[in-house]
Amino acid sequence: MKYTNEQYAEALFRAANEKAAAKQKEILRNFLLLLSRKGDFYRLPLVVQKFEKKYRAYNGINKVRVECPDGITSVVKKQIEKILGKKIVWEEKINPALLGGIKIIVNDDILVDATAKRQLDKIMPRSKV
Amino acid sequence: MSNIIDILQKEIEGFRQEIKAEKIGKVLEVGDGIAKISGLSEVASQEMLEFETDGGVVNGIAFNLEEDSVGAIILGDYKKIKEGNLVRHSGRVLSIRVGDKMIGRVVDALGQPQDGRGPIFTEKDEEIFFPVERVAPSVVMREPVNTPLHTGLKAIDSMIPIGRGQRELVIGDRQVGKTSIVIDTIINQGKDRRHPTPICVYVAVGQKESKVAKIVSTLKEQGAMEYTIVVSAPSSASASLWYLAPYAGTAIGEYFMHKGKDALVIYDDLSKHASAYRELSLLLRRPPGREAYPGDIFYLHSRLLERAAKLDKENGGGSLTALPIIETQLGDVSAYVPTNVISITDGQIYLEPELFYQGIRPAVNVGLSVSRVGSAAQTKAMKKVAGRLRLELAQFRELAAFAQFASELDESTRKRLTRGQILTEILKQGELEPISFDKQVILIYAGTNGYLDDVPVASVTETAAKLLDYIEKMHGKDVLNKIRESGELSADTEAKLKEAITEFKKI
Repeated sequence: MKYTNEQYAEALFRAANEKAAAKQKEILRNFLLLLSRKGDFYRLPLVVQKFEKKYRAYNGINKVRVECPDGITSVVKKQIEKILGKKIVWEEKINPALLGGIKIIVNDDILVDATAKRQLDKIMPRSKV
Repeated sequence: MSNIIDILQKEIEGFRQEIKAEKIGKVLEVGDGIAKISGLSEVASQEMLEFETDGGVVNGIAFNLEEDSVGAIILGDYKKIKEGNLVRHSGRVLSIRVGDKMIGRVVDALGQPQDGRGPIFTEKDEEIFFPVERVAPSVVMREPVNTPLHTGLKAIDSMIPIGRGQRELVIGDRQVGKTSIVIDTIINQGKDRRHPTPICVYVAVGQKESKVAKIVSTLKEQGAMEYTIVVSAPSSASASLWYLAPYAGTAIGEYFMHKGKDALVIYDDLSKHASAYRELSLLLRRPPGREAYPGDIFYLHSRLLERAAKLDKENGGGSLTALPIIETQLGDVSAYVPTNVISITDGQIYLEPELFYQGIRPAVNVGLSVSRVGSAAQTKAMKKVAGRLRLELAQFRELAAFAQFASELDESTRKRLTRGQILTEILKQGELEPISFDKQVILIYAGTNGYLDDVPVASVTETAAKLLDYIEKMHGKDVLNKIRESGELSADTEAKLKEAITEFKKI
């Protein structure tokens, strides 16, 4: 029987959620063997993505990736925490090419691009390749 | 320099900062001109996507909307895209900028100039965008095809007439003269004084750049680039550009059609277009069907060709005529894609290699060729003379097998064979030599009424040329001009024509 990525992720989450670490290791091993037996090993990246989403949604955690030309300040972090809640997994990247402003990606799904680079690109679009 | 600064200043002053939350995706896989993207949960089918890469923005189109991912084709250099790159959706479908300034230019499938003559439009030009994919005109917007589109080729204008707004397929094996027919058609549009010159769009799909360059050069020499646009997706371009080129060409033609003008779009050729779509579909893991084509291969061409139409006066009265070309393998017209396109179009011009090698060029098999619009798209003069032509050629073909027994046949059979051979010679025509319809009428009239029956078959071509020359010089006003202006062969003009031919024969 063919299973969708969503079904795999849901099954793994239910099996592994709130189990002891040693048990989770075993469950994960079994899961990988199952994928391999079913010939669905190539779908692992998408299954992991969905699993991650479920885990975060269950635990109320948001993954926030922030890019800015210099370091992110604690003031900005507090403002984001005010909107999204306290449980945030932060990923920070310094990217001088952005010139100014900030780029925030929430849960790999929503982007708020307030960088100077984006605004300049809108005024003067670079040659599209 | 100050002009550039003024423009930039206006952009900055008029600029409205817009920061909003938008749904994005991430590239999972990329390669061979396609990408698999996760996320983008609100993307629509055929929506334009923007890939953010280190080298700038690369555009793409959302093709496959799957449960966990989106499959997209990339319109640009896919090698610049990396796994993990962000993808935004633009909220719009692919459009091409159109305008009168495109005439005489060579562009790619995205409307970018390819002829090294700089940008097509300036900042002062009005920005008009036509969507590459568009719903065809409805039934109520159309009217029947009633104006001829003369190709300048005797065999076609007499027996397989094409009208403005029709779709006529040119089908045959490789190297039988399909492109020659369409190029002659383009050239003849500039010479047909009776009707307004249509804007011609020649779409080259998957052709050698040298061939496209030669075609452009030929059109320039003949003065045809003054009303022609070339859309080129050469063999070195990606499959996505091959796929888009015919739609882009149609969008350009529609711009002129909706302005009330006539347009002619030539797709050379749709076989390569089908194979490019097959390539993209297989890469995107769409289920293959017959001959590995995807299930919607018919829809690929039907939605393209349905956009050709003759609009009624309420909608501007413009027209878009389509001349698709299909290349068959070993004359197999019953293969998948050829039968699809035959069933979509309003007729076909079938070219045979056997006729080509016998020296009958254009190598049109008039028995298998048809125009479903027929004489509704013919001038009255041509209708008058062409009716007998078809019949006499059909009778000749039936008797052709007996030609080797010529000495043993009765008089009437021998006469039919001779007449058939003479008419076949009359219908032969050189490349890049389109003839106006009035001259065609004269030649066909002379042939079908027996005025050339006493001319040796080998001399018919030369005699016909001399006859035309004689009538042009001695009876240009009272015969040729009359036919050209009225489109009819009235009793009076016919009498003068008979007299002129008789005079010529005495010389």
